Amino acid sequence: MQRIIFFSLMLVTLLSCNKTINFDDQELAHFVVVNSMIGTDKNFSASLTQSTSILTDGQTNPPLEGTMDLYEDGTLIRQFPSQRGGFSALDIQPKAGKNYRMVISANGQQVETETTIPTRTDVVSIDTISTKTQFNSKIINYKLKIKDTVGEDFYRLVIFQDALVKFPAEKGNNDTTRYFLYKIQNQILSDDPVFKSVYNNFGDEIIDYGPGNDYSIFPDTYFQGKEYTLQFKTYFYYSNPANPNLGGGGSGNSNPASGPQKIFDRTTIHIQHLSKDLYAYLKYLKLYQNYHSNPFSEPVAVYSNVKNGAGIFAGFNDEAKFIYEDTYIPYSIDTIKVEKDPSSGYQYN
Amino acid sequence: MRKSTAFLVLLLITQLIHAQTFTIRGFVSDQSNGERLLNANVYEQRVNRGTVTNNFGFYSLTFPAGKYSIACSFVGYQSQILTINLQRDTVVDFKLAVKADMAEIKVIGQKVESQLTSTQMSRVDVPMEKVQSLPAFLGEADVIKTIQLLPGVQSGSEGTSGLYVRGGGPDQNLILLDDVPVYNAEHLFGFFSVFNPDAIKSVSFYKGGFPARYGGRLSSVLDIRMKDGNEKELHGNFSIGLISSKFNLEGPLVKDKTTFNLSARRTYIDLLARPLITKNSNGQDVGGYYFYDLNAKITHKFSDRSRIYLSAYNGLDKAYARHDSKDTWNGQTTQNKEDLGIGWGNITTALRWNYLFSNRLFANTTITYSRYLFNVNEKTVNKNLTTGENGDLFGLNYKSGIEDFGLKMDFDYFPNPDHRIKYGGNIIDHTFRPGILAYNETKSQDNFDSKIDTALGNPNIRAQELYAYFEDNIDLTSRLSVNVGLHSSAFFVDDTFYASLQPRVSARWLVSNHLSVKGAYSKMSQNIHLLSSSTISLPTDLWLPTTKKVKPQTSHQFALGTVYQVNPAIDFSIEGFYKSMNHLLEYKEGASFVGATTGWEDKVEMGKGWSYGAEVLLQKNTGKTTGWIGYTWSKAERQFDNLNWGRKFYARYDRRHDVSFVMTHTFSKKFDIGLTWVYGTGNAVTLPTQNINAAPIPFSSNSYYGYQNQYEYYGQRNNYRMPSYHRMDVGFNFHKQKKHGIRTWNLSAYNAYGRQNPFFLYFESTTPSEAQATGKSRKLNQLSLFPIIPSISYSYKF
Repeated sequence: MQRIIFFSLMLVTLLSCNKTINFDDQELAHFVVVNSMIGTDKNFSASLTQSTSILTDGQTNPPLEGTMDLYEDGTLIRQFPSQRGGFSALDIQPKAGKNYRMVISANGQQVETETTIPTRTDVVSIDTISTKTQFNSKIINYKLKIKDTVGEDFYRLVIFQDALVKFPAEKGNNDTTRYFLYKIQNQILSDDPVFKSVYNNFGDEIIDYGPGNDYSIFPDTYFQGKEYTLQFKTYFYYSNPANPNLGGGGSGNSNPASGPQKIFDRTTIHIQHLSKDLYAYLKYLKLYQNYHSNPFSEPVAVYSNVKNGAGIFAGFNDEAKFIYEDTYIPYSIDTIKVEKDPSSGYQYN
Repeated sequence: MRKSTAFLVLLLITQLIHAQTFTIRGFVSDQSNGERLLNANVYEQRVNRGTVTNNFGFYSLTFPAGKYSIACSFVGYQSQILTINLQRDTVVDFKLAVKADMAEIKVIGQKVESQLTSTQMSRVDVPMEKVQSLPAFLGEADVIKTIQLLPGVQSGSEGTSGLYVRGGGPDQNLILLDDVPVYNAEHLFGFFSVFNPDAIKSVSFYKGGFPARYGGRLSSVLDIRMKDGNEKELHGNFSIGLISSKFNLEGPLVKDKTTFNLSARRTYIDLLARPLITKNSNGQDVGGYYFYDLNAKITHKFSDRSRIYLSAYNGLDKAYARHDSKDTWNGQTTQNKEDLGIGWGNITTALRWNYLFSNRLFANTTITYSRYLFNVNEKTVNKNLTTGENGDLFGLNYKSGIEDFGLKMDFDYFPNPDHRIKYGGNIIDHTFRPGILAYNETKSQDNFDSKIDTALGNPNIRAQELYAYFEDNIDLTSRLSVNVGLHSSAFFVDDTFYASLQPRVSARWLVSNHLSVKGAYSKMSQNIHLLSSSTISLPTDLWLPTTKKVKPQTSHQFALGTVYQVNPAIDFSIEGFYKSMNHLLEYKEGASFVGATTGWEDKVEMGKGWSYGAEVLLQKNTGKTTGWIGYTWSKAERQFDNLNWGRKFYARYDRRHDVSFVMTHTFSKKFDIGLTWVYGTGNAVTLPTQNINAAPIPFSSNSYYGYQNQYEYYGQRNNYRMPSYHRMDVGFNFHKQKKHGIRTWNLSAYNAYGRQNPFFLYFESTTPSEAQATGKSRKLNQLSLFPIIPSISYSYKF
């Protein structure tokens, strides 16, 4: 009798059932999607695509064709049609402090979006100190002092390390000497509260740690209109010309007399002043990445500022500072052509 | 001088006139068991003036000297009419007898203080007979699930006991058991409520027009009173159901002086499952889940003027798993013992003292205690039995909850039949326990011992809450009556002080003897918040106080309605409401509710909410067939600066249409049936609708930190409607008179026609053949919890 009752109860629990329900994906899909991130050192460009149904997993959005009216501070500066699912204007370089608005007609719909290019970040100073871990890894500790402007501001920090390597001409292999730039993005390690404040990664959270601030973005909430010194560190990856991929291990330089020769190791610190749109986009994109497959968390919508459509139009202003190490100066060097590491997938600018 | 003399004479005359008034006062109770009857009508027939009994069955009427005909009535009981020549203060205790035909005619709605004539609107009294006679999930009669059948009340997810009243949240309901707040009224993730119907005397539910005596929550008040116990003789009942058994015993300890009432309920899934688990694990594992409730009450009458009540509730849910195994290797025998337990439950206690200071002034003083505790503990011990050495040890203990001590005083003053004044106050000392994790670990490996013994989490938070109130129910004319009141509250926490003045007004205009029009306004304030998921109630949900950063929730609610009495048995009512709410809490996007203990203020957003709608109720209270049809049209919206990009969105339990049909029919003394049918617009959920190409991020790798080329687009919060919900439950009760009492077999079916109602929606990849047929690589699936669930129970009442 006990068994019968127990199995009856188990059966009831197991009888909870699934069924596929009708989902009108076609009516909800086919948004006009506009994506564009513009900076002062970039030519103007935007992509124009059409969203796909949620039921077509993994299909990239097909390109759309349409026309755009581009305004700068409310003045129409260009009207142009799209080409191969995008707009490109080599002669338009966004300017700091200007507002840009796009009005796009495509697919029988009209979408509109706007953003502002912030001013360049005022970097007051950069101090670095190198230390070594117990496993002999080199760590660079940074103190980066910036001067915040009045009002609400948002920033992003990006650090790249690159190595320029010379590959001498070899008989039967390279006909000429070639120079390759190997690049790696450094992970930024920091307990600075400005980074932690973005996702509230404070305290001794027991179960839910929240996402990491992988895009290294931060608002000026803690230092509005004042100077602030960011503290962070990165691992320094030695490049080995014999195996030039950064991070691959090894140290020092090779014999310059034969084989590949390293010209320099360089660290580039990008401190970017972001529009609020770009800050929100990056913040919610990371939240989305972290939580969208977690059934226990509140759903995260990725930020969009495209009215009647989807996507993002956002401005930024990049300020780069360089630190050179392990520089090898050959006896003579002419003007050279530097090539990107062919295996790199980086969006350099 | 002349003016002063005239004034004094006038004052004297007034006093003389007053001196010639006398008071009739007393209690109304059930003749058979002495149980006091709440909200019974006591009415003078000639002068057309009357009152209703208070929460302790007391009434008081003051008239000039003369002859009066006093009627006392309570639905389901024979009315009594007493002619009295009032020449001095008089005590009249009415002891009403159950109508002779009541065994055959179920009362399914207490038309006590008539809906037509009462100043109060948006209140429903739910008789326990109704709760007991309706079909129930797994045969467990449930107070809260009966309330969910009322217009204006949503039930949340399938099968759960959450209350979403007029667009409010699940934390906005003040649930009182004998005046003590109950913080978690749910067992087993909300599939059952903690209230054992056998222990309960009365249930009053307010969804608007809140009297000034209630405060502290925005959306509803559920005032539950436990039975005092039979004064005359020992009675009881027991029942055996599919998942639980329960009993109730009540009677006099000292006849007509001291009574007791004791009820207990326990599930026994674990007892049934334990042998099977043990057998299948070769005796190494034991596990299970159970919950129990224990209600006890003792009442003692010191005198006609003084009475004391001590009532207590203790309930617990417990899930546990134990493992004990031995392993022999290389001549060494080791033992591994693991013990995991998760428990949560409430304790409430009320010590109440009624005292009649005068014929017109009734006082009740209550000392209250309430505690809700959630606890997880885990312990693992490894031991070498050959050498006797202890191995690794791991221990974890997590506790969270809330604990209250309170003192409450309430006064009922009956100056004359045109005024019923209530005033009083309450002080509560809250201790919030946001979660403490104690963790210890000892490891021995390769001659390297490590030991951790630490505690993480927030310290307890103390807060003090005070309120005082005054209300007067005034009969301005024979047709117009108003209830005006003021509720003032104060809250102290962490050097922060919040005060609030909350006016309450309701009015009734008796247009004719069959039609009345009512209106009400209430301002409410709420100083404590529940951090919970929007999808399901969990025992980990945390009650937390208002802080410097998180402000008190407030609301303003307006209601307007009319009641038409079709005939003495049938009422028809329509009510419209509009409610605005401020400082509502929602989790931030991406915030997870699991273990949100530290920095919780940074995980929530504050915003506004609105709800409005209309409720229609056609109710038949007496006769062989009783029940109601309810319909609600409503909208509930939210707006948060930092959610949904600041745009308005529908609340999760926004439900445009909600219908309930509730009926019982008594065929004979031996057989009756109950039937309910509900329909509701599907819940609003957040569902992605499209795939969007992500913008390439400048100065970044496309593979950096898991960057994706596409993301799912949601549009806005709660953008998609689940399929509509409907369900029919039926129950059959077979009664038989036995030698010592009545036995009842109950057969019922939950979800009688097997509707697959939505509980959860999710996307899933299609199979290759489905993909070929539809051209889609994914499909939307619905998870339904409960198919037809039949149940059977046996009960015996003696």
